[in-house]
Amino acid sequence: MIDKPLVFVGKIIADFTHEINNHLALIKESAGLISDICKGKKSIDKKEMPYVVESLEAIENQIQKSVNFIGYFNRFAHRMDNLKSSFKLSSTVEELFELLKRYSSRKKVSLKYDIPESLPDLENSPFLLEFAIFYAIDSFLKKSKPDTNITVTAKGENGFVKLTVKYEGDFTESINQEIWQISTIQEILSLTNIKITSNDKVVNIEIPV
Amino acid sequence: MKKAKVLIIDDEQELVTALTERLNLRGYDASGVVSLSEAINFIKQIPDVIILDIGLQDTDGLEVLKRIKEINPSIQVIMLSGYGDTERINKSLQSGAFDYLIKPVDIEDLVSKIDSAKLKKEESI
Amino acid sequence: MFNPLKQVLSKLTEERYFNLKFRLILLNTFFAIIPLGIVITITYLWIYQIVHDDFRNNLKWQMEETRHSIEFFISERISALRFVSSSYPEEYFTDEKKFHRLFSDFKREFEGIVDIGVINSKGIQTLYIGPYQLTGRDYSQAEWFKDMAMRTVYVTDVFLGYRKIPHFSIVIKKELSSKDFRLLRVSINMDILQKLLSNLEIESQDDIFLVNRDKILQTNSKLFGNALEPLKLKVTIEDDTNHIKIYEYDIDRKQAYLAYGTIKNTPWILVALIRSEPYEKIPSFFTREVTMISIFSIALIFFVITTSINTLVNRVQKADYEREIAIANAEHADKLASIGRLAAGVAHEINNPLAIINEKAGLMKDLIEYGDITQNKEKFLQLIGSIQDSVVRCRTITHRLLSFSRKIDKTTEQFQLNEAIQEVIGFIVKEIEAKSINVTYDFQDNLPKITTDKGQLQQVLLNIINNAVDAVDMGGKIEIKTELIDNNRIRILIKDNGPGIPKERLKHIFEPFYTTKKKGTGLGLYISYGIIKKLGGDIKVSSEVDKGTTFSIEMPINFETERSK
Repeated sequence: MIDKPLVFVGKIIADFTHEINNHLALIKESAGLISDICKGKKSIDKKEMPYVVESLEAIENQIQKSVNFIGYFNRFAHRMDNLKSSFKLSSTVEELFELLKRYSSRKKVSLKYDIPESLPDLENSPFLLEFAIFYAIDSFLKKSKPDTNITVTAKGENGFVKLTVKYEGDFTESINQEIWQISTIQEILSLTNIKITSNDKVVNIEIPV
Repeated sequence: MKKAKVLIIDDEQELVTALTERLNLRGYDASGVVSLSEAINFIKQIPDVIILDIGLQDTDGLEVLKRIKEINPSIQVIMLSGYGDTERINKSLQSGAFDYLIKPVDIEDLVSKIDSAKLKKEESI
Repeated sequence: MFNPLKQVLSKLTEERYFNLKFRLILLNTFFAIIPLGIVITITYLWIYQIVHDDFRNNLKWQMEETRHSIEFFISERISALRFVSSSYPEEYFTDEKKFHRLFSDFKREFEGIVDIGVINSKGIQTLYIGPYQLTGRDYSQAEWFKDMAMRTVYVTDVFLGYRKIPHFSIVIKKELSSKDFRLLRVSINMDILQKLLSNLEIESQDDIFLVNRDKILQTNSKLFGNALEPLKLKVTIEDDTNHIKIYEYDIDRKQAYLAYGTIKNTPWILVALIRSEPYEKIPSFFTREVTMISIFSIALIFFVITTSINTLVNRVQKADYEREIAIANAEHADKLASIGRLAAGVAHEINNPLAIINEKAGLMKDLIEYGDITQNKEKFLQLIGSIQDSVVRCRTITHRLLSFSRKIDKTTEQFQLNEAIQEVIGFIVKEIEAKSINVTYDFQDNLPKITTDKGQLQQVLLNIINNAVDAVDMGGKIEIKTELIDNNRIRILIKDNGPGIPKERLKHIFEPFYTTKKKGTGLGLYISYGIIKKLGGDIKVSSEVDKGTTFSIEMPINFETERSK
């Protein structure tokens, strides 16, 4: 029962490290460029100075991006601390989307979300909720065609927050990855009072407030 | 106004030297140390502002903060912290830290915090 | 990972709970039936007693009645004969005509008289009226005649006499002078006694008869011979008792009652043998009813107990199951939380080299802005080198994280135990350094690679080392030792010099929900214990207050082969 969430965590960590490695590669390139400019000369040519500054700014930018990204990852990692805590739906969706960007862009699917800030705080397992949303997105991405959309919307409705994950586009015929059974996910979510249902291109997740 | 006398305490030598140099370039009287024993000597010279890493390896940054405040409460301390260490940030603010910054820091933010910390120190005397 | 656990759990529990149910139902039913049994037995004995007493009283009463009627019959005739003998003028006993009239009157009044005779003191029947020719018959040698010397009234045993018909005689003596006497004798057929006996209500198996004191039957017995035959029943009969005596008597291994009583003024004893067991009728009725009620009660008791125990045990089973699931879930939650912590910690580490890169790049920009660039070429190269070093540092961290992510959902793998322990220490190096803890290693170099669930083993080690870190004071000591026990097992010892654990706490240390920490869920060591057991290992703890605690973990070198055994 825990293996599916572990796969999810493993995927997030793997994607995260790849992303950070990309950032590092960029930093390395920029540093390499400066190094190239400096090497073999007595002093740096004034004409080349803008390239140096540009590269240094690129490094600083990259660092900022990395730090932000690490921030999201950190937040995500701490979601596993407790099976119950108080959290904002928008912040969990935000970090999940940041961490899944790499996965979706590889599939050329754009992820969008629209979560009203006015929704009440939830008292639940943020990790398992993210897992549920991940399941929905993952099940679509595994059979998606390029240039399609996945949107997540949410609304409050008599004591529940209803989250809808919708795929806009066609499914491909050639699926080469195992798509998890919704029943497995439902069983895992039975640890909480989160309900999940799916039909073709829509997954609905219901969280009691 | 005379620029502040700044002490940077962080166990990353590379970071300390870079920051010290950058502050010196901006006209501050900055020095940096990587260990507590070194820091003691500098603290005796009573700097205006100390920039202190919250996650020091040999000692807990919080303990260092408390000791600095014991030695001279007028010294203003700006904590450096990693992301998400909210618990220790809050504790250090309660223990008398002037402010905090998340690593990696933006130099302009740091400079402005040092200036206001110096102002506060002068007011307090 | 969860499903096999579930299966083992359900298999184990089903058998365990079935046994529990079975035992509880049996025990409860047994103890519920005991009082029922006692009540039934007591009631049965009580009713048995009542019925038997009632039967004996009834028998006694009937015997008294019968005895009374015989006594009355005899005494009536004796009185009448006495009266006749003493008050009638003497000529009535010498003149045949008058004697005849007397006999006719007498016979009319008293039933059963067959004949009458007068016998003189020499034993000669001087007068006789009856169906036989017995006038002049000499009785001087008859027993009864001889007895009459001493008596005035005599009721004889039943005898055949000259007539060859069982009968008895009543003889009345009248003294005529000092030496002369006359006897008046009437004969009565035995039939009349038989008739009197038949007044007693008896069943066909029962028997009632008269015997004399020599146990010669005086009337016909159904079972023990005809009149004048000796009684074919071994029985001691006490003489001359006024009361009816009732004995229990076994006949053909069947319980019977023997009742007897002597009949006044006669040589007879009235004997009744009751074999029909009329008292059995009520107990058998009782038995039938009670059996029905008992069976119904037992069925009801069984049903109620079975249903309630079933519900109870099912509830217990459900609660146990939920608890196990909760623990399993807690275990999972624990695992997730530790993964999260590790991931967050590692990611956090990247921030340091990134900060350095940031400052170096910033410094370079500063140098361009504030300083003389042309003079700073060397410095630039140095700073760029530093940036590149930091990038490398970042990469080692991300590399670690990546390999961690790959291992997350794998189970067993082959690895160097010593390295795995170092990795664990790497995860909590910050905490260790924060408390200036001195961690020493005493690793055996030539340990073979161990095959097991690395993640889970590391989780346990992390848990125990973390506990040690929490336990020791600032500057404390933790010693980690590995050694080969034999070809199949490795031991890991984790020793701290913390405050130790008192004995009474030590024995609960691996129990669920036990904790000494204020914040802990208490699941740590319980789960650690479960994990090590699951991996075929063993975990022990020894501790001495003020000296420290030592955890000893024994692990099979190859969990897979160990398991397949």
